[in-house]
Parts: sequence; C-alpha cells; structure tokens
Amino acid sequence: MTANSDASAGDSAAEGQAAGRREVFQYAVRRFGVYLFTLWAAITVAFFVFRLVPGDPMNILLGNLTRAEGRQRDAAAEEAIIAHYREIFGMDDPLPLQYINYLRKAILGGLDLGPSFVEYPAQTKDLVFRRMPWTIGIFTTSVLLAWIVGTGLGALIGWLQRSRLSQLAVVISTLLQITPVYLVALGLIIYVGYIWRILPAGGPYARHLQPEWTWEFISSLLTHAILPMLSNMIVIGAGFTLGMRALMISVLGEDYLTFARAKGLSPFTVLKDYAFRNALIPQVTALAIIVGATLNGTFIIEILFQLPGLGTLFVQAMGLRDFNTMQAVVLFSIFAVLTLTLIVDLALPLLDPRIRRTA
Amino acid sequence: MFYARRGLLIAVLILVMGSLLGSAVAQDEELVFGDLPRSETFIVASQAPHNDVWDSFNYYQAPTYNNATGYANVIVEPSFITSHDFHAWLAQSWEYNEDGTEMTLVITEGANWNDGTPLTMDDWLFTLQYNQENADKGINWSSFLRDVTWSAEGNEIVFSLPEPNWRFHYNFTGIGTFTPVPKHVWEGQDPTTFKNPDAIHSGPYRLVSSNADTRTTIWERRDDYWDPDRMPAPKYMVWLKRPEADVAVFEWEEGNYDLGRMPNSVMIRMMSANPHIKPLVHQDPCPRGLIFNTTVPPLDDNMFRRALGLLLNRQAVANLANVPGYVTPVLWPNLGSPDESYYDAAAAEEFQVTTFDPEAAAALLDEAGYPLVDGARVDKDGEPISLDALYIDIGNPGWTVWAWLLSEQAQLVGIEINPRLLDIPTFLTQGPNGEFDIIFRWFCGNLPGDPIALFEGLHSDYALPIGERTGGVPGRYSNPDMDAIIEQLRTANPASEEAQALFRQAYRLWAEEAPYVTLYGENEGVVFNTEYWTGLAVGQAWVHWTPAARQIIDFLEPADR
Repeated sequence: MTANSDASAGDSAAEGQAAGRREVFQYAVRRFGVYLFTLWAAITVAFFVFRLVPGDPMNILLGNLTRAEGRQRDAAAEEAIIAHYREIFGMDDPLPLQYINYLRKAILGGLDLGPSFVEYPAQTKDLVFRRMPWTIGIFTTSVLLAWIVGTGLGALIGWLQRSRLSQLAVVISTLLQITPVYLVALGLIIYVGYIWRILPAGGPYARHLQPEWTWEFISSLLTHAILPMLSNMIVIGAGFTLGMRALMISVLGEDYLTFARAKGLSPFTVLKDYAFRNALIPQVTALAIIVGATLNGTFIIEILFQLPGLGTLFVQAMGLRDFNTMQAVVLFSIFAVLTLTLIVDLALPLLDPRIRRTA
Repeated sequence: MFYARRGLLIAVLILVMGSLLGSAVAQDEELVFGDLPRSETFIVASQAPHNDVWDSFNYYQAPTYNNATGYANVIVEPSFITSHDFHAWLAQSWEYNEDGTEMTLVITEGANWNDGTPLTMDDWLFTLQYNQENADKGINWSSFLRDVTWSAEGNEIVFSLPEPNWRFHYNFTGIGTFTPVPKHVWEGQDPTTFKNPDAIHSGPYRLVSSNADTRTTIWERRDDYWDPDRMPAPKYMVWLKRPEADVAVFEWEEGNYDLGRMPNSVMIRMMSANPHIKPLVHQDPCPRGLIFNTTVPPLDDNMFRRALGLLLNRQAVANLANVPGYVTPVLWPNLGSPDESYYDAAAAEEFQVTTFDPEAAAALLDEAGYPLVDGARVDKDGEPISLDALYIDIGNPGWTVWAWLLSEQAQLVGIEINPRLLDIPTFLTQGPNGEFDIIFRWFCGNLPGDPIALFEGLHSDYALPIGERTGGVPGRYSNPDMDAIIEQLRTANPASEEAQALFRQAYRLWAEEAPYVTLYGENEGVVFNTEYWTGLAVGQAWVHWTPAARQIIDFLEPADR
C-alpha cells in the first residue's frame, strides 16, 4: 500500500513536472511567435511609412548638388543620373514589389538590405554593422550603468526614506529626470569640455588617430566616451533611482518584511534578501522598456557629441530619404527592443517563481 | 648640513625652473592633430552634406560627392576655374571654328598628379573615352560627350560637335565640370564603385589620412606640385566636419578652426570672444527668386503673377538675409550691374521687375479681373483666392521672411497667401515635381556673358505633368514665343549681336510674363580666423564651397605672430 502510494505519488510528481515543462515550453514558443509576428509587423509598417514621407532621394541628391556646386546640371545629365540610381535602388518597381523584394533579400539574401545613399556605394548592412558598436558601446553601457547605480541608490533611499539625505536625493533625482538629455549633454560639453577642459567635448576619439590596438587610441576612445555616457547616465539613472525607490517603499509595507524583522534578522539581510529582491523584478522589466524608449535621446547625444552611431546615421539617412538605411536602423532598433523584451519575459519566471506558476 | 640642504634645494629649484622653461620653449610650437604645427596647418570646418562619404574620392558619382573632405575643393583641379571670370588651370584656352561645330581646347603642359606621375594628353584622351564609354552608368561629365568625336595634336584637342554649339566650353569652365583623371589609376576601374583610395588628382596636396568616424581628412602639401607660382602656403590642410553650431562656437572662440561657415546669429558673440575672427563675404553665384506654378489658377494669368511681384518688398527681404548690408536686390539677368547687351532696360522699367508697389499691384489685379469682394480678392469663378507659399528654414532669415512679408502685403490687397514651412528633403522634392503654388528657389548657372540658364528652364519641354520631376524651372510654364526664342538661343553664339538681341527679347517676354520673379542676390558670410593665416579679403574672386577653393588657398599667407 505504502509502496503503491509512493509510486503513484512519484508518478503524479513526474507527470506534474512534465506538465510544467510542457507549459513552460508552450509559453516560450507562444512568446517567440509573438516576437516574430511583432518583428514582421514593425518592419512592414516601417517600410510603408517611410515611403509615405514626402521627399524623393534623387531630387534631394540633385538639389543638394546644385547648391554645393553652384551650378545647374543640364536636364539630360540629371535624367541619366536619376535613371541609373533609381534602377540600382529598385525605385521604379511598384511599391508592393519593392516590399516583397526587400523581405526576400533581407531573409534569403543573408540580410541584404540594399545599398545606401548616405555612404554610397557601401551596403546598408555593412554601414549599420559599422555604426552599431558605437551605439551599443555608448548607449547600452550607459543604460546598464545607470540601471545598476540607479537601482542601488533607489533601494537605499527607499530604505532610508525618512532621512533628510534621502529626501534631498529624491528632489535632485526628480530634477535630473525631468531635464532634457540635450540640456544635460550641452551643459557637460560647455563646462567640462570647454570651460574646465577636463574631458574632450566631442568626437569618438582624437581626430588624427586611426582605430588600432594602441594605448593612445584606447585611452582616447575611453576619455571621449565619458561625457556622452555621463549625459545618458544622469538622466536615465535618475529615473531608475526614483522607480526603485517607489518599488522599495511599496515593498516595505508588506507583511513578510514585518515577519522577517520579527524573526530577528539583521536590517541588511532584510534589505538584501526580502525588500530588494522583491522590488527588483519590476525594475528588470523597466530596464528593457527604457532601452527602447530612450533610444531617441541617444540619437541627440550622438549628434551633439559627434559620434558615428546609428542615431547620427538615421538623421543623415532621413535628410536624404535614404529608405534602405532608415529601414535598416529601425530594423535594428526594433530587433534590439523586441529581443530584450523577449529575454526579460523569458527570464522573469526564473527570477520569480510566482510568474513561473502563472505562466 | 645646512649648506648641503640649501644646495640641494637650489639644485631642485634650478631643475624645476629648467624643465618649466624647457616645456615653455617646447610649447612655443603648438601642435594639433597629433604632430602638425598649428602655424603650418590650415583648418577648414565644413558642414558636410548628408552624404557622409570619407573613404571614397570618386568625383564621378553624385552620391559620393562630399565637399567636406577638401578633395572636391582643392585636390580636384578643373580645366578652368570660373570665379567672376575664367582662370586657366589644367587647360589654357578654347576656340571655336566659324560655325560652332568644332572646338579646340588647349591643355596645360607640364602638369602632374599628386603621386608625381605626369599629367599628359594620354590622361585627357583616356578620360574622354572613359566617360563616353560609361555614360550609361549615371556618372558626371558624360552626357555632353554624346555624339561628340575628338582628335588630339600636340597640346590641342579638337572636338567635332554634332551641331553648332557655342556653349560646349561650359563643360570645361563651369564649377564641377569635366576634368581629366589619371589613366594609371582609373584604367580598368568601374566608375560607380572605385574609391580612388589615395585621392589622386592634380592638386597641391597629398592625402595623409581620412577618417569616417571622426570625419576628418588631413592633407600634406607636396613639393613637386606642377605650378610653383601657385604653391599654397599652408603645409598641412585639415578638412573636418564641424559639430552643431551650439558646440562649434566654442571651437571658433578658441581659435581651433581657420575657415568655415557659421550661423549669423552667433557671429557677433564669436568675434567678441576672439578678435582674430573676421567675417568674409562673397557673392553667392545663385541669386534667389520665386517660382509660380503657372498651371494653378489664378497663377496661370501673367497679370496676376506680375501683381504678386509688385507685392514683394525685395529690399526688406534682402536686409534680413544672411549678412545684413551686403545684399543686393536683383535686376536680372545679371547680378549687380546688368550688362545691357543682354537685357532690356526699358522692359525692366515698364514691367517693374524689382519694384515694390502694393497700390500698383491692386490696380493690376482690378484691371486683370480679380475684384475685391467683401475684403477678399476673388478669382474668375468668384471664389476667394488662397495660395500656399513654400519655404525652408536653413537659419538664414532671408529664405523665410519673404513668405511672411508677401503674405502680409497680399492680405492688404485681399489675397490670402499661406506661408508653409517644409523640411529640406520635402522642399527639394515638391519643387521639381511642381507640387506648389509659389516656391522659393535659387537660380544657378548664370555665366558671364551668357544668361541662357535663366531662360532655358522656361522651355515647354520642361512643362511636365505635376508630380513628374522636371529639370527646368518647375513652374510648368509654356509659351510658344518663349520656346522659339530659347531654341534660337541654344544654337546662337552668345557673344553675337543676333544672340544678344534674342536675349533682350527673352528678357522682355519674361518681364511681361513673370513665370518667376526675382528676389535678391545673396552675399554669404564665411568665418575666417586671422590668428594663424591672413590674405583672404572681402571682394576676392572666390566661392568657398566649390572647386574655386583651390584658388583661394593661394591667397593665404602666414600671420605675423
């Protein structure tokens, strides 16, 4: 009897585990399906929306040339140039065909996103891959640092919510959070870069250098990265600080914290293992959302600090109505945001067993 | 012990002072961009266009044109530089036969490329052939060679033209026109993909480095330049893309740039902060004007168009333009002092081509059948007239204020004109496509002694359906009389009395018809830092943003510091 009941209990536990794994697998598949669909929908919308924006790349190109050269080309020469590039960029095809070709080349052609106008004859894919490290390097690093610092600081000032220092930190964080990143960046450029001359005010590295593994280049790269990263960190970090503080305060009122204190645990253990861990979960989700939401701010940072990242590239492409490049940048942004969201969605059940059960 | 300590202290002091003195001496030679002596380096802070190509020096292709690297400006040398007048450069002269079916071009002998290879007739002939063979690839300087043949003898190239063409030499004399390329570099290369990585052409500098990340190109003067009389003074030239104006202003104040453009709004501040900064003013080769869409009623009526011309306060617009006090309202076809051989002064007066007279405008509107009804002018169908005026904002008030002044004056005579700000790409598209009522535009191509560019675009060949891009004046103007004059002008020798008479006829017809109206001739400001270099002055024949920059660097002299 006992053996039978043990065996049946073991079977039901195994079945339960198998069912749990099935559910997790189904959740992951469902989530990945949503991810793929969202990616396709976003690419499709971007493709058509960009083409609805007024402005023809060839007209813009020739208009800029007329101004740059101070002369009007003869009409025959212009027509020859236009015909050539319209063919290269596939602009003579009907829009639905252009769309199909775009998807076909992007999916089956090894991510062939077509040529770029911005840096003709460079391929858009190469251009994006060349610029991507700048955006990822500066932006992602600064957001992660801002998240780490802001989360830690927010937890601390939430924990010490009644102290004057904590209240002062809240005021400062609120002020910083509502300050446009443009102003923070400009302030840093003017004061730190030009008036106090502590750090370089702009550029990816010193203008006379070429990328190479030398200390001169690496140190130049690092010192040039400080101000743009700091601009991002200040504004985004303030937001994370306030967010984490609010989460901490809400967690601090929970019964399990009172219970933990009543058990005689040290305040640090209560903070670390009970309050902080529980407040952290929404903060992780916020990280993924912030990455997407603040990408626009990074574009401004890149332009102000003359960084050759995707933001600068997008602005240049927009000015030329270089559809291929615009789409490629947006594709990258969408991919980055969706992938991060997917990772967070899949990771959350690991962080919080309650979510695992719900899933 | 005391003396020993004092001796040691003195020794240390001497060492410290010595090292300070030494470093002061070393700092005498200020270095920039690594190890370039500042006093020998000329730094151009450019505004690169959206095309951001820093690793290709291919001047054949429209999309790779980047006037911020300096390559198109000082390395590519043209056959002739046109800056107020023609200046012989890689070619010496041109001459036509009696009927304009042959042109002989005399090339400059003894020139060389910046890699030291001689520039010979072989290079000229190779380039002509190369361009003709690649004409279907959308490259520059190829379409004019269609059906043209040539032969060479000594230092002369004789072009045989399919029909009389007294303007064939414009393909060598204008800005951004035909120039030879080195055969040993371009032979076997595809003009649509080759990057000319060493930036080989005949200019006086060699490429040191070019960096797309920092948008900086560094050039070093070569001692073997082919014309010692035109050897520029700066040993190094650095061309870079400057940051946004809000940031660049600090670079200027610190004297980090020598030449470049900045918005007028920050000029006074910069000059106060750095007394070496001077504004230089040059006449822009493209005067400004307004184009009317002649397919849109009532703009299809020349009297209505002339009335709008009378509502334009050109002087007020000019006074607000880029460099106040240096602007000139335009009495076309020629800027400044019109050559009466080519324009009809009586017609200019009769049709009041630059006059601001709202009362005369109101009278003309009454006469043309646009009465004032309840305070609003109505069209021939009795509907109130409402038009859009398209403009762009590039930081120059002259480019924007005209729309508001016109709107204000039009309102006083009962016409609604709505100024509409467009972003530049949209503006550059809607203009050629004819998707406008009234649009601002620059008119380039007015060459000395031949204003055909101002009339050519009015031929009905360019009056394409709305929505299709046209290469002419995009107002869809069509007039058989104008067509007939233009067709005769195309083949007439512009220097002949016959052509001049035709030009006067064209001018009269244009003044009467007003398919577009003049606004002002703009003089633009360039910032020049005199701390390290002098020699550039207002009135010199140069235009900074074109290959004529090759000419201006010859004026530079080291500053006496």
